[in-house]
Amino acid sequence: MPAGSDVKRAGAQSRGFTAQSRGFTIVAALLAGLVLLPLVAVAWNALTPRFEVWEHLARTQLGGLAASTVALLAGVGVVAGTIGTGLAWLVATREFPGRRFFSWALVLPLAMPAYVIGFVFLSVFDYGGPAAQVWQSVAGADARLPEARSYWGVVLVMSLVYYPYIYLLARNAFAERSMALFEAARSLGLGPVAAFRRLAIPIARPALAAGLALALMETLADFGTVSLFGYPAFTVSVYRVWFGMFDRVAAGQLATVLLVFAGVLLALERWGRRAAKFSAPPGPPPSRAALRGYRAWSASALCAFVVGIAFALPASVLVLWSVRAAELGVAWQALGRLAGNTALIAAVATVLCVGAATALAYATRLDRSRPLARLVHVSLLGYAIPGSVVAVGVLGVLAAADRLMESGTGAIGMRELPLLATSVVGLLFAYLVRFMAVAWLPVQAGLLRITPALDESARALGAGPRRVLATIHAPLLRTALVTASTLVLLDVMKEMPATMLLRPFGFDTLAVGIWQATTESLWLQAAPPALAVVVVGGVLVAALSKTLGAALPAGALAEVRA
Amino acid sequence: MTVGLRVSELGKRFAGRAGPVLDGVTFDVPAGEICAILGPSGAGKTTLLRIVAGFDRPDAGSVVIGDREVASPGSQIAPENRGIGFVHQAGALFPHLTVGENVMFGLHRFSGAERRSRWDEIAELCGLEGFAERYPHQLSGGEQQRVSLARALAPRAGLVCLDEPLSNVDPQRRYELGDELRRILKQAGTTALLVTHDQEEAFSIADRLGILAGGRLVQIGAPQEVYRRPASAFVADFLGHASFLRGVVKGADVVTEIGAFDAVEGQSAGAEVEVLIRPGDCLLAADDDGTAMVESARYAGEHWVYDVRLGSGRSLRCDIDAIPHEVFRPGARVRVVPRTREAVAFGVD
Repeated sequence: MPAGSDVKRAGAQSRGFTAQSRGFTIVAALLAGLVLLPLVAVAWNALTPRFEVWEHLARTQLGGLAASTVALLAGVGVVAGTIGTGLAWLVATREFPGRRFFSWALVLPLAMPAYVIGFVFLSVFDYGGPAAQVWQSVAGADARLPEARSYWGVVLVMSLVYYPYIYLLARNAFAERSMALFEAARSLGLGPVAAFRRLAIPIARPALAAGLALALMETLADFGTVSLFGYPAFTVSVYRVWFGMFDRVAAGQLATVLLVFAGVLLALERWGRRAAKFSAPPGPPPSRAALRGYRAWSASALCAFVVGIAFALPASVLVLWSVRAAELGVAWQALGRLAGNTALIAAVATVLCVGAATALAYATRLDRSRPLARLVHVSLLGYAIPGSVVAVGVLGVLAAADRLMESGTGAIGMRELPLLATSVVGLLFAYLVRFMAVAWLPVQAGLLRITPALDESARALGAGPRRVLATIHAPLLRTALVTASTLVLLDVMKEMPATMLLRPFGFDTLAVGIWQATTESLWLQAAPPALAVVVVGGVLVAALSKTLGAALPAGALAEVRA
Repeated sequence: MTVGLRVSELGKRFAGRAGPVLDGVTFDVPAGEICAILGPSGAGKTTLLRIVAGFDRPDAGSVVIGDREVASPGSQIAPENRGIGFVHQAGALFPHLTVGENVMFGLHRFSGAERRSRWDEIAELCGLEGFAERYPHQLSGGEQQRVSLARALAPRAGLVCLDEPLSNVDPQRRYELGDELRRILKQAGTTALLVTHDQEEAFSIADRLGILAGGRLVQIGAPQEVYRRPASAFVADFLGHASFLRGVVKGADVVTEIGAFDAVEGQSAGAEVEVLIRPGDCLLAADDDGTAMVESARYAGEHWVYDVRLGSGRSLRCDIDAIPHEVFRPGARVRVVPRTREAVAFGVD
């Protein structure tokens, strides 16, 4: 064979090789860019020189909004932090009746969207509700319960649903610590309380900071609860400016402020970890000290109390009302449609998010260049961004795309194109931006556990990158993919603000159904869809409880900084 | 000679490392031969192997497998298109596939019947009959390596790359498995490139042995030739214990304090040289007038290991068979008797 043809053949195959792995790099870069686009669009609003509404807002509301947001974050941080850390310490280091059960049952409130527990709380404790009636029958007709729609009401409700983030991460951090550390502390004369304060807390600080940041991100993103309680929060203002004033620029400018808050939380989380990079010395985990007598029973009672008010009681109330709604013939007819829409959109969104996350993770495995890794990590920030901000950005992007298409099709004489901005595309886009990171972490962790030697062996045996992914990685990633899908399903099902802002007209999901009923205080009508969310969510959380600690997005946030 | 593998002027640098990892590495492996590249850790062995397999790109030079150039700085054939097999340190068997599925993984372009007949052939060659339905975790380390080799050979690879194939096998079974790998490779008739830092692994498997140090190929040849005629003091020392004696070239001899050896070509008369003595090259004889003294004696089962201080102050290592042999105690006066006139000498700088 002449030398020339050799070279040509080599050249052709060389293009095949680089094009194939470059293919994944390009797909990953495009995906990351797509996901970042809405955030850029939001920030763009802040630069748009149209400030009439903004100035009005700044004069009348902005200071108050900022103050109330900081107050809310501080309140939830303290209450949820105390509940989460305390219970984690109890479960990780003490033995008491029912400990194993509570260890996972304490995670269950994650299945309960804040707006659900919020409306249950309101319906029971609000003026004229059952609690007030009972109280009046005991304490006299003029007796009043403390106002439910208050700062402390919101803080309590949010703390009850978001403490599990702190609990999970702290529990794992406490459980990983070597017994040798605690034995050393005891030998140095530290009692259990001093050991907790001087050893456990500082060592678990990275995990605590990550858990706290996650809980506060959820607090910041919440829309349903604050609007239900009439609490002045940014998410509500964005919604009002959008639908009340139809001023997208002003809404975007408000969303930018929210973006800044999210950035501060990310920085807080980063600082918490950066400040303390401890590695656990290897060794057996601390053995749990058995509590006896009344101490043991009060530990069980404390856990039961938290699980009770954060999950069991609200769930029971929902069951009760759903039954009554069925008797009255309310709400159940619509449930099938709501559930169907939710299942459909959640299924598609899950496939999208898990698929995109897998493509990203695999691309960074094939192409270890720095710029790609940076881009991918930045694209995972969507998780920290409130759904209402994402929605504003997505609408901005899609409206621009619609205008582009309109001018394009106008030129060739076509009319009546389906508008992207009002289609289901926007909804899926927003879910992708927000929840791709949720899927990315378990997939990435799973991929890291697969030794590159397997990829290399398969490549040497003639398998291209796509076949390696399909025949080697996919089967080995099965657990990780199931975990990722479950997490995304759970989040999409619970997500309210993005769904509210972006759903196509008439496309109601369970979350939307709950919101519409609760804004009019139609508690009975809200109960069946809420019960559906809680039951499905409870099953998903229970299925995940073993792996959830490791799969929480805190790890993803940790990766973001890498 | 048909070329199995030709590596020319291969160069590679890594960002953040001062020197090159590989620097002008050039060698040929004739088709059907097994070549081992031996070197201390960090010498660039694994990088060399990965460039040959296509997992890394060279900065300079080229790789030719059979009649096809597969890598040069401008073009790079993907590993899946090189027609090679790769055997990793720990086997890297696909954990979710059975032994049969692992071995047939590379046969996706074959028909079902061809695959079955190829499995029968390979299973017989590698002693894997009856293993088809087992999973990797049910196998011992040695069995895993045999499966890994079978998997690499199944698609009739033109070149098999082996990365320290014996390192994860327990010591008792190591050399047995080494012999087994050599038999299989020879019977399959494949060209093979093996990298290792274990000289016994290299000696037991290879037809040809290259020494890589600091990214440069310092010597390549038959194993016994490299061992007996090392190109440098570094190679001599790396391949086993080496003692050096001062010698002077006189006519056809190199004269040292323990006796005369055959001079090597290229040494001029009167030149001072360093003569390499291997532990097995000399015997010891009890001699109360001897200028040499036993410094330490260590029992090593089949033989005794002596360190002897010579009259000049130089130290010499001698391995003496335990049977038949009188034992010398430290402090004993002895005479050193060379068992051969063959020796290697290096010029004195």
